[in-house]
Amino acid sequence: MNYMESITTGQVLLALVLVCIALYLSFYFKVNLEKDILVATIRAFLQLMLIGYLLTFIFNLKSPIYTTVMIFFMAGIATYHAGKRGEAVQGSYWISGIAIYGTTIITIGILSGFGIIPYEPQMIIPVAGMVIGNVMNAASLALMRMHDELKDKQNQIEAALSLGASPRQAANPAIQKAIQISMIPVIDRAKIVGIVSLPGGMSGMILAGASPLAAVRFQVIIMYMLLGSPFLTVGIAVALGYRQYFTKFMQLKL
Amino acid sequence: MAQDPIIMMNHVGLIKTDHRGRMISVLKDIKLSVLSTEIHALIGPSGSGKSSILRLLNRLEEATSGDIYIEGKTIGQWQVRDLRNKIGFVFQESSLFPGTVMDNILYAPRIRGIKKSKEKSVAKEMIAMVGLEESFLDKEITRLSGGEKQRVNIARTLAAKPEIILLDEPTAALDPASTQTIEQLILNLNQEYKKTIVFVSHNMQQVKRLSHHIAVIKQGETIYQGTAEDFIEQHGEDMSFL
Repeated sequence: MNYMESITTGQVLLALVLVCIALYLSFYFKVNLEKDILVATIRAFLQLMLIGYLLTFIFNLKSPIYTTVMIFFMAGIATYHAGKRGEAVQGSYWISGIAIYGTTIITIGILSGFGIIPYEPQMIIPVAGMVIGNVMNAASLALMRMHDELKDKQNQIEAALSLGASPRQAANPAIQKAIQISMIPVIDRAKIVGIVSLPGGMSGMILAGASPLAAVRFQVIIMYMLLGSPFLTVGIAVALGYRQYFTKFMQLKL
Repeated sequence: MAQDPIIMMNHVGLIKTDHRGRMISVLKDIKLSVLSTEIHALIGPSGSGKSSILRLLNRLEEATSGDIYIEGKTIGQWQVRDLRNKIGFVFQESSLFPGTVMDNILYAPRIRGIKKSKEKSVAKEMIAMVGLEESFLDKEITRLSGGEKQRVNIARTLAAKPEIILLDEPTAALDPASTQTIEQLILNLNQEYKKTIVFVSHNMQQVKRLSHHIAVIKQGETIYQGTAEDFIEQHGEDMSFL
């Protein structure tokens, strides 16, 4: 039995020593974060235990239908959060929904369809979790940024419209900026991976006993997936999002 | 026979919602009649709704009541693009796009698919129309003075070949010398190129120098239409009573 399988409840509880340090420091510096730390500690424990039991249940079912339901549920939660954060954009919930569900279906479709990752719950659910978590941030960042850009560049956009530009042409600088800003962290992360940071998935595989090279091969797949999928989400989100800012008479509405 | 106006506004109102969701009546009863190839000024205090009138004429906003006619057709009968090709709008200078003078001037021609080989000649023609040297074409917008920016702004609108030009406070941020240059340019566009011009100002002296007719706007209503001279004769040049 490897180490991962042998972790006991006692060991988990002992790790609370680190939380106690955080609590002490919060008290010492009087930053008043003790309650938040306690809530976060308990929530993290409960949420992870819950997902642990849920995943065990789904893994044991070995049913593609339940696997799909689980992925769709995760995408639903991500849609809610991305939509809420991007609320300044009219229709942010359905826009985030189309972007996140669309990206998840296409990404998982490519990975499973090409046989890169088998459509088995213990493989595809964690991978889908990574995709969805990643694109959720990208979608909300892109929507918020686009909103700010359209607001800041109102004069230029209206000047472009008055010069005969279509809404798409007039909004293009704002769309480009939103895509750039939301994709730069994704691209930067891919650039420094393995040099500055070891990705969580790869670290987890090594901890679980996989050889570093096997872990790396898997991680490369994951990195390419995490590089491509946010672009898809951001593309869908801004393509749908900018339209919310124009009337049918090509007027900017903010 | 009296000439038909190229622009007519009858009892036009505009209600907007502010950022707190309250309804604000920006325009209440605007009447306007602009003749072809004339210079027409909209004058009135800040916040009286002058700029909103220009925005309605370019259909950047929808009037909530009343009728707007352009060349006898209601504004709704125009395709939005055709209307905006006919009526150019010179915004305040902050609307210039980042990049070079050439990029700005060629914005409308490029949208209409101008051939690469013709770009330079069109840009040269436009920059000459506003009295700037050809060497300006490659300059970055950020390196221009206020007066130069305003001339580029006008050149950018001219490149779309409009028959009617709307100018929103064209000399608001300019020094006296640049103001004089822009005023001369407005007169040239009208006299030499036969453009109909509607401009917003709050300076009665300037309005008198440039315009054939004026409309005085107060709190969203047209309170006078006629010549600047007649208005001054009745009320004097002091606009403070508005």
